[in-house]
Amino acid sequence: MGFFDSRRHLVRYGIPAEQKYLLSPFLGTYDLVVINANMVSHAPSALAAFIGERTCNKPFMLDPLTHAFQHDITLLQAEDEDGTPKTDLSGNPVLRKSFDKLCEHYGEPVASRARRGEVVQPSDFEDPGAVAEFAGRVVRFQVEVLSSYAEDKGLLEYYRFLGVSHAVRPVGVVAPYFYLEPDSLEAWLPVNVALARATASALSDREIYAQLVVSREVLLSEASRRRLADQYRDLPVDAVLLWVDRFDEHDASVSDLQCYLDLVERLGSTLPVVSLYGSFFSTAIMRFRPDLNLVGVSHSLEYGEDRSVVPAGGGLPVSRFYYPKAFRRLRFAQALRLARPFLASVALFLDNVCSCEVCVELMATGPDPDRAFALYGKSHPVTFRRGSQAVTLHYPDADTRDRCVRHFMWSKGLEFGREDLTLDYVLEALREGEGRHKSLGLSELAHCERWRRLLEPRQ
Amino acid sequence: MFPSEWEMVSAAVARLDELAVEHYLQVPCLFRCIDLVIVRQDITFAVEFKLRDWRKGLEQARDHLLAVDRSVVCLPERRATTTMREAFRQTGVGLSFFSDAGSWPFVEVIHPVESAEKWPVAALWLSQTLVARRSDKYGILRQPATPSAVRNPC
Repeated sequence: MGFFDSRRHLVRYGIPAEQKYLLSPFLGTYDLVVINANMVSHAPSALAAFIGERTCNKPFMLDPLTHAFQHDITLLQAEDEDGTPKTDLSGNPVLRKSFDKLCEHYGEPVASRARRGEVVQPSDFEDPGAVAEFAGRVVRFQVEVLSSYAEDKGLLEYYRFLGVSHAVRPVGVVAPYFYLEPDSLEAWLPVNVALARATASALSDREIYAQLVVSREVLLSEASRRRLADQYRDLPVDAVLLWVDRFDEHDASVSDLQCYLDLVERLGSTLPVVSLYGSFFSTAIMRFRPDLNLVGVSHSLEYGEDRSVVPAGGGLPVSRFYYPKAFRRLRFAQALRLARPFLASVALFLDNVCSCEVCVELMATGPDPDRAFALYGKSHPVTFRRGSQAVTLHYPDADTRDRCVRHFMWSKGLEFGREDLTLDYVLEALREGEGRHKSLGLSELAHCERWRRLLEPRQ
Repeated sequence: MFPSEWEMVSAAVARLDELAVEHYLQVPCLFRCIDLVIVRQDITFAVEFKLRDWRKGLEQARDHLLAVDRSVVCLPERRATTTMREAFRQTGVGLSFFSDAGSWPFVEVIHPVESAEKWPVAALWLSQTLVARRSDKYGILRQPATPSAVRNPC
């Protein structure tokens, strides 16, 4: 039985400080944790302990992040204190430790290219032998790196004692992959296909996933979608992991969302599809359109229902309140406007806004519903310069952020797991959101109408 | 024309200083920051300054209505289109143009309506912030008085 034979809720591991949101009591709210390879190469021992000890051997998989070697290498470069990219005495870039270690694991062609400050080229994969060797090393990294550290820590012995033979091993292996844009599609697509086939040849005892990472332009082109589906549908893999660059399902137009559904349907005709960064729209498709074969949806903690392929340069985290009936994180002022009619009593709030564990606790201990809900909006000012101007923005207090993340995790858990979350319920909530969008002019509810139109059963 | 939004804010603040009007710069409010809060006869006004993007200013000013009595967007003088007037009227947010003439730095284009959305918790937080600024006798929280001295608003 394959891991994606039933629908799955995936959560992306972010930074060590966020581990607590993936552990008890949230451990049961999701099925699998996705960890980026650079995090693993940076702190393999800590992550082996995280998976082996703290999550009690939770299913996981690693994103090999091979596309990182395809973009501007300065993004992988270590920086001096003043933010200048570091170089060695020969003028070659000094890579960040995590990517430098990843180079050691992955070897050629990415290692020498990156260390010379060059990006990897499709021509580097013309030799089938080089393809097979690279795929083999990427597979080995994913399968062995954490389990070898778990062995060192004596964790595996404990699992063997419990009769668990494959502890601290990923549920499946992701084939090396590269990002596809319109200009580079023809060059990189055959490389991706060859790498997926080589991965399948290198491994027989594990599931294999092909990761398909495309730009929005590729998604919107019917010819590209057809070409991708033609190439991927016959691959000897167990699922396709789909990631569309900066595709925010809340802001996407109806026609953009239709393109997304079309690509999922084309791929899903032969292989299960997993959305690597998806919002409730993807979850709803997974639940209510089984014909499309979308079997899993992944998101990060709170933020991260969409993501850009190339890091946009960080930024300060902004907490928002995930409004369950709007299926979206909202700025606090907009969330407040929606929730306000239900702040008259605790019961009204719990019945109409949210009854997750955090909300229940806040409402039970707060002096009144207004002041309890306000705890999702406590913030402090941070001033920085933007161009010639000093700009002050508000950032959540540590407690606020913690509350918002915990509320988000419970809300997401319910979206995936609640059996009484029927299509009728969802359509009714979207209609309600549509109404509030029109009557209150809340810009962040504009998705409700678009989603409702696409989710309504076709006559 | 002001080279930056901050120059416009500074020019307004200089005039308010001369008039000894109670005002506060860059006041935290519900994950946003109000450019300028003016208190007159116990009525709090939020003023959001924008050089061009009045729609963004309107959205921000609208959020301020959860904490203040009246909220205004201040723009450099320009033509107030029908669309603009309609958008402001629908929300109750006022529209003013920055004025060089006279002592008062604003010319009212659309009168701000008293907030029907004021939320007691946000109003309390705002008043606590203003009290802290008022009692800050060492000037740590106060804003510099003259535009030339104004470099960092907070």
